This record gives sequence, C-alpha cells and structure tokens, in this order.
Amino acid sequence: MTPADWEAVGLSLRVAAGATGLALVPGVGLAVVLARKRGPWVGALDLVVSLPLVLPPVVTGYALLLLLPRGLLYTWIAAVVAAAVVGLPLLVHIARVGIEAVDPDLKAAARLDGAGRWDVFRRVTLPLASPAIAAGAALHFGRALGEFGATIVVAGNIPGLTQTLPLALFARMHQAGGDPASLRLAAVSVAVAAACWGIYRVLLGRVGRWRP
Amino acid sequence: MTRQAVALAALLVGCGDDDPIVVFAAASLSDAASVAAERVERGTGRRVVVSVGSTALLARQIERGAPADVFLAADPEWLDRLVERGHAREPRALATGRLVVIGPRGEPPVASARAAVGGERLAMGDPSHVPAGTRAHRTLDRLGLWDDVERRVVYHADVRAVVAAVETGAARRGVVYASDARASSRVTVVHRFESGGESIAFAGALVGEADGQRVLDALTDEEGRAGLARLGFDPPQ
Repeated sequence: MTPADWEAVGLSLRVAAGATGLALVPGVGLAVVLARKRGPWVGALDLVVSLPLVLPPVVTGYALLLLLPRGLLYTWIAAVVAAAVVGLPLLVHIARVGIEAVDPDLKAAARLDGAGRWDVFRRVTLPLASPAIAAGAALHFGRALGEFGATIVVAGNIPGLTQTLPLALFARMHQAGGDPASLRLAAVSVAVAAACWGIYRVLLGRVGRWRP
Repeated sequence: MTRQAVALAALLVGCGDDDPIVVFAAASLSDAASVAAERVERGTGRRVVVSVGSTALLARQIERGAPADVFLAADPEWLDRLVERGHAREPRALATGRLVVIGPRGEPPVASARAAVGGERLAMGDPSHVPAGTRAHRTLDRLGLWDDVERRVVYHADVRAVVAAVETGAARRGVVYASDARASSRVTVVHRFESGGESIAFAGALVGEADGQRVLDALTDEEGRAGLARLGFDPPQ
C-alpha cells in the first residue's frame, strides 16, 4: 500500500462515517413515519426514500448534481451527501423493521404508567429498536464505502479531496501498469466490506431478542 | 455521546484543511501532468494533485465550478470554450500528437492502415466526448475504414482506458496518441496513420489560483518541453 492508497482508504472511511452520521437521524425519523403512518403521502415518501436502492446511482448523482448548491459540488461534502442518499433506503428499511417489531403492549404499558409519547419513543421504542437501527447503520456504512456512480458525478475524481477508494481503484485500473495498485485496493475493499457485513449480521441477530 | 460527536466532527473537518494545487488533466496528459506536479511540489513545497479524466468530462466539471487550478486539455476547442465563457484564462500551447494503432507487446508493425485495424476488436475513445475518439473516428472514416470496423469497436471513457484495454487483452487493437503508446511497456505501435491521420494540439490554461501558473511553466519551459518529448509528444506548432 502506497501513501496515495492509504489516503484513498482514509478518505473513504471519513466520507462513509460522515454519510452514515448525516443519514442516521433523518433515517430513523423516516423509519418511524413509515412504520406508523399509512396513506398515499406515506406511500409517496416510501417511494422517494427507497428509489436510490434500485435506481442506477448515476441517476441519483445527476439528481444531486441539479439539486445541490454549486459551491458544494466537487467537494468531499458532495461525496458525503451522495453516499448518504444512496445508502439511505438500507438504513430506513432495516430500522423500520426494528421499530415495527417493538411489542405494542410494552408501549401501552409505558403510556399507562404516565409516560408521554416522546418518553415512550425515547425510553421504550428507541432502545428496543436500537439493534435494528445499528444494523441498518452498519449496512449503510458499507454501502457508503462502496459508492461510485453518484459520487463520480457530484464529487468528481480528485485525489486527496474526493477520490474515495472505489474511484481510486477505477483510476488505477486505467493507468499503465496500474494492476498491482488496483489489486491492493480491491483487496482492501473486500476486507472492509466483509467486516461491515459481519457487523450487520451480528447486530441483526440481536433484533427482537432483547427483552427488558 | 458528545465526545463521540466531537471526535466524528474532528475526523470530518480533518479532510478539508489541506489546500493543494489541483490539476485537471486529460488522460493523454496524465504522465506529463504528474511529472510537472512533482517539479512544482519540489519547487514550492505545496502539494499538487492531478485529477484525470476525458477532456470533455473535466471541462464540464470546470463549468460547474469544480475546484481546478489548472486545466490540461487534449482538445483546444474545449479550452477555447472555457476561456470564452470566463472559466479559464491565459491558454498556452503545450504539444501536439499523432494518432497510432497499438497492439500487445511484440506485434510486428503493419504498413497499411486497413490491415492494422482489420479483423480484431478495436478499442477507441468514445467519439461523443473523448477527443482521441472523435479524431480516431474521423480518421478511420476518411480512410474509408469506418464501415468495416464499426461493428468491432469498443468505446472507452478516456484514451488511457483504451491503452489498458489492449494491455489486458480486452481488445487486440486500439487507437491512441503516440505518447499514450509510449506510456505503457505492454503495448506497441503497430501502425502510424500517415495520410489522413489527424494531429491533435494539447493545450493548458489557468482556471483557479495563480500558483497554477507554475504547473504550466513546468510544462512549457526548456525542461518541460524536453520532458514532453521524452514522453512521445511532438512540439507545439
């Protein structure tokens, strides 16, 4: 691994951490709405939130290119936003499953004991759903690390500023004699992705098991 | 929780604090840009980073406000367009280049263009936005070879991707500039387009801060010109 390789790995970890951090609170909020509300507007919201999961990431990137303020384009913040949005459906849907799985009797009992809605959410729903939220965040982080299509559109491919691991790999692949560097970065990608998936599985195993 | 948030913020802010000179370089000029970047780094102590892509892709990014300080283009038309619109200034001619047909190392040279591009899968830049591809298309068309090769061509996003395709064997022939062929030890020139082969002018301009001028200087002073010649470029006209 050369210093340039490490730089790309470090930047990727920062961008993915930023993306998951950025997506966490809105993601849980959306999961709560989707878990509790019904109706055409909620269906539309579900569609908008879920689309990046199935859309070609270049379309998501193009949408962000048109929507983001110009000053943010081709900065690492644009890479953070792209990764946050592309991974959002994974976080929202897994968190939603965890929130829906919270036993309504427990919430009713808390209400009966005089807890307000916010207290019930903070002290009952959130702790019980937290393994699912954490699992969703782990998967979001993994997806954010791998983000390519939307990132190259909104953030470009500038070494040290916006060139994340997948972009660095793409650039190395096209360099004369770039194969060894490409293989190194690919190996790092596989290792980090496997770690994210492992963490996700462990957290998923805890969903619904814990009882107060 | 607060401490974690602070740590996260520090981690994130940490990636915004160095301010390198950013060079946007057409794929053909990536090696030349790296050599110039190293010289400027040695001379100024400032970091110089090179973002590589096709000329049109990078030009579009600059139009949308990408933080480039210098643009090195493989197509003077794109550069002129940026200058006209006020995105770039002080354009300079850097070098010229000629199109060649490449094959894997060890292939013998072929005298006729028809034989050079005949029968095999042919990699070239996407003519819709890669200058080397546009010129390859025009050259093959002018030589009356386009109808023959059209079904066998594979388009790539920039000219160095064409070199990589021939290196890995994904395509057996590719059309690139002579300097691109020189950049790889795993490919060889099998044919140089003589009549009908278009030459290309490489040019650079300042986009952002004035220190970018040093990168252009490092390509146009005596040492820079000698370096470009070693990389297989012809002098500017």
